[in-house]
Amino acid sequence: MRREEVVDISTAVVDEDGWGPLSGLPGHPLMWVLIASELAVFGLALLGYAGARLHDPIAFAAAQDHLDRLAGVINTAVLLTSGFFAALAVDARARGRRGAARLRLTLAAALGVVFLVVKSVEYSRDLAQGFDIDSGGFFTIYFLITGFHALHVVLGIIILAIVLRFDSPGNYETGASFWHMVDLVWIVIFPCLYLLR
Amino acid sequence: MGNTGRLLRTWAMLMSLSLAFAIVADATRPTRLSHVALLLVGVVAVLKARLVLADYLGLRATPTALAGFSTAVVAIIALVVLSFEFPVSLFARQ
Repeated sequence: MRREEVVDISTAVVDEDGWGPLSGLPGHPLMWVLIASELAVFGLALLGYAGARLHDPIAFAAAQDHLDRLAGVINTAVLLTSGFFAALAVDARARGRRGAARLRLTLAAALGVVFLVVKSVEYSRDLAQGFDIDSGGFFTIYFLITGFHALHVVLGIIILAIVLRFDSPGNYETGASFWHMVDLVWIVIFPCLYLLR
Repeated sequence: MGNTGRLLRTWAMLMSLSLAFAIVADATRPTRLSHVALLLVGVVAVLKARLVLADYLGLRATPTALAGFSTAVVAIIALVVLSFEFPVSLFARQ
């Protein structure tokens, strides 16, 4: 006699929050959808860069020589330290230490402003040397990718400011997740645009 | 204190790997990177990304998600690094 197995789909497939496997991730599940989308966008942009470089590697290498690598290294350190403070802020808020959490998140946002200042100085030097978004394939892609990333840093600072105003532990996790995504994207962008040649 | 100590260790490792990047950047500025240097830059980038995913983003507690996001990052960096190994003559404009 065949035995029928009865499976309750409502509990087997979808958890009670309705987010499936995303429910186990820190912060709001929708933020993880956004993080995955952003990684895909920046990943495709970098693959586009790699493809364009293959058509004219000599011109790309010559243009790349004009980039300020020291500024890129400084900005990497600034973002990584900012991410460190954001992670510390989430930890402090989870322990109920609201004052410490606010101070750390403020430091994270302040370092985001430092990143933008360094990037602005770098852009102004590029422009002073006569390189802008129309200065050949490399600089078009460079300004598009790094400019789009800088826009995410601005958005991240706004999100961190909102979290400081509405400072629940969940909001800390969600806001910090976006901030770390910005960090992660820079970690991938920097070697691809500045170092690989 | 345990979580703070782990985050501090992660930050120190990330900064050390970034310093390695800076040295590579300074040492290789005028020339094309060798195959080993290309691989090294790619591996260091992947290591840094994995540290951010695991400890800053907190995916160490969800190994499946960590593996998924890590694979995506590895794929992006590997494809870009590999593009530097393609014979340029196949793609150059005539």
